[in-house]
Amino acid sequence: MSKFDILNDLIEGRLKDSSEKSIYAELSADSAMRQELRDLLSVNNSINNNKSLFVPASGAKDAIFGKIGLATGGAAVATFWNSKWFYSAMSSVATFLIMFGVYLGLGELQDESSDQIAQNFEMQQIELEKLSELEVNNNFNDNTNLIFNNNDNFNKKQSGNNKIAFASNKNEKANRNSDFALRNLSDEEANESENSKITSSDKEDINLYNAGINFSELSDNQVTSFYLENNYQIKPIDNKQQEEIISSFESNNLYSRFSLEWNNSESVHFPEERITPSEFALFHKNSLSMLYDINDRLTIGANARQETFYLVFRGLGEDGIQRIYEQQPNLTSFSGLLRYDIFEWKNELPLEVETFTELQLGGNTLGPVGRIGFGLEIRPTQNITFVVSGNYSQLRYWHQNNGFRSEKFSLNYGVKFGL
Amino acid sequence: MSKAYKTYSDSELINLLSNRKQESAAFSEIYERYSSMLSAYSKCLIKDKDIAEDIFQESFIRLYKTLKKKKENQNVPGLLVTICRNLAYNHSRDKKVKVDPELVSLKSEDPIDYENKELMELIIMAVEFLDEKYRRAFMLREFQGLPFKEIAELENINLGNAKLRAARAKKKVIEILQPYINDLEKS
Repeated sequence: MSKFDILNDLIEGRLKDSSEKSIYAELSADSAMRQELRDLLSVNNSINNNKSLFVPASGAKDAIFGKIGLATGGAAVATFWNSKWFYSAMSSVATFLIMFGVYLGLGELQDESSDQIAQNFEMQQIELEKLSELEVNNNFNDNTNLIFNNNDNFNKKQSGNNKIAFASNKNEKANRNSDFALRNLSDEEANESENSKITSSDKEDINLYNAGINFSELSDNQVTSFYLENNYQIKPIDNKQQEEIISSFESNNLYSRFSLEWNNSESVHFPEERITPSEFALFHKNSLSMLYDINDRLTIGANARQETFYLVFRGLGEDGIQRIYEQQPNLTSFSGLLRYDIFEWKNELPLEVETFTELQLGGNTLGPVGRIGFGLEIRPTQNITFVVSGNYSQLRYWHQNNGFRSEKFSLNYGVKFGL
Repeated sequence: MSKAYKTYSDSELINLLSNRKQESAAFSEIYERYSSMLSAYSKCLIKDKDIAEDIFQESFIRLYKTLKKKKENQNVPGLLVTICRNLAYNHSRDKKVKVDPELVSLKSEDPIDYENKELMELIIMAVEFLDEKYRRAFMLREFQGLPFKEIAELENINLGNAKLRAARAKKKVIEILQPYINDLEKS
C-alpha cells in the first residue's frame, strides 16, 4: 500500500490500532507526509461538510423526464432477454413443463396404487366371505369386483377417481384411465349379457359398463357389490357391508386426498412499481402447493412461491442524510393455506365447477406475508382441476426499526393434480 | 444475454438514446450517475435553492438534447458542469436586483462557509478529468456515500479493487487541485 492509501485508510477509520501507531510516528517525522494528510483532510472535509448538497430535490427526476417526454424509472434491464415479459413467458413454459412432467409421473404412481387397491379389495373380499346373506361362490377368488355407485362425495373425495378396484387375479392391472378398473368385454359378450347378470363362457375380460348396468340410476349411498360366480351373477349387499367396504377403501386410499397445485401469477403492485429487478428468479411468478382435503369443503396445505414485492421506505444513509429507497427484490415466500369451497355449480356439462375462498399466512426473508382471495376450480376429470383465482397480498417489513408495508393484487392460474 | 445498464459505459448509454425502447432506461442511468454531482455543483454556484434546482433540472434537459444531436466523444460530466455553469452565469447576468441596504440582513443565511464551498466546486470540476472507471468509483463513494461492497457489486469488481479505485481517484483529484488547495490553506 502506498502512503496515500494508508493515510486514506487512517482518516476513514479503517486502520488497525497497531498500524495507526506506526503511521502517527511516521507523520511526526515526515513533513511531506503531513502535507499530504492536510490535503486529504481538506478534500474529505469539504465533501463531508456538504453532504446535503448531493441530494437532488425529490420529484426532480420526474420533472426532468416529464419535460423531455420520457418515462421515469426505466428498467434496469437492457433487452427482451432480461425483461419481465421474457420471464413471464419463461415461467409459463416452466409451469406447463412441470405440470406435464408431474402428470406423467403421477400416472405411474396411480398405476402402482391401483394394484394396491386391487390387493386391498381382495383382502376385503375375504372378509366379506364371513358376512351373512351373501352367497359365496366357490370360485370366490376369481373375477370378483366391487362397484361403488354415484355417491358423489365418496367418489370424488375419497375414492379419488370413481375407481373400482379390480380384485381378482393378482396379475391383473387396474385400468386407471377409465372410471372403472375393469377388463374389457368383447362386444359380443356385452350384447349377450343381461342387465343384472353377466355371463361368460370362459374367463375372459369383462366390461361391466358395457353390460348395461346404469349406475346413475342407483340411489345415493347405495352400493352394489357382486361376485362373479361361475355364471357371473350380480348380488347386492346391504348398507352395513357397504360401510365396511367404504371404510376399508378409505383407509387404504388416504393418498387420494392429497393433491399438488402449480400456479402462475400476474400482479399489480401498490404503489405502482417504478423500478424492476435487473434479473428475475428462475421460478419468478410460480408457486407450488401441497393440499390435503380434510372433507368435502375444507382443504389445508402449504405453499412455496417466488415473487417480488415493490418496496418504498425511508432511512438514514451512512452519511446521515434521510433518503427514500425503492426496491423490488426477488423473494421466496412460504405459507400455510386454508381453502374453503363455497359453492358447487351444478351444470349439464361434463365439468365440475366450484368456487372457493382462501387464506394464506407465511413469510419470507423480509417479513410476514398474508394473502386472501377467491377462486374457481374447474374439474374436467377426477384427477385434473384447473384453478383460477385472484388474491390480495401484503408484506410487512422493517427498516431501522420503522415498519412499512407492500401490497399487490394478483391473478393466479394453474392446474391441480390429484395424487 | 445483455448486461444491465449499470455496467454500461457512458458512450454505450449515449448510443442507446437513439433507440426509443431503451432511451428512457439509458437516460435514467445517466441521471442516476451524475445527479448527485450536479446537485452539489448547482447549489455551490447559486445560493438560492429554488434557482439552483431549476438550473439542475434545466442542465439535464439540455444535456439530453445535446446528446441526442451529437453522440460522438461526449464527456457527460464535463458537459453537465459546463451547461450548469453557463446557466448559472446567465442567471446572474440577467438578474436585476434592487437591494435596499436597510432591509437586507448582512448575515448570510447560507450555512456553508465560503472556503469549503469554493473547494467543493473545484472538486466537482476536477472529477470530470478522471478516467471513467475511477470517476464512477469516486462519485459512488464520496458523492453517494455507498459502501465499498455495494460499489464492487455495481461495478462488477472485487472489494479490493473498489477500494483501490476510490483511493486512486481521490489521489488524482488532490493532484489536480493541489495549487488551489495550497492557496486556500495560505489564505
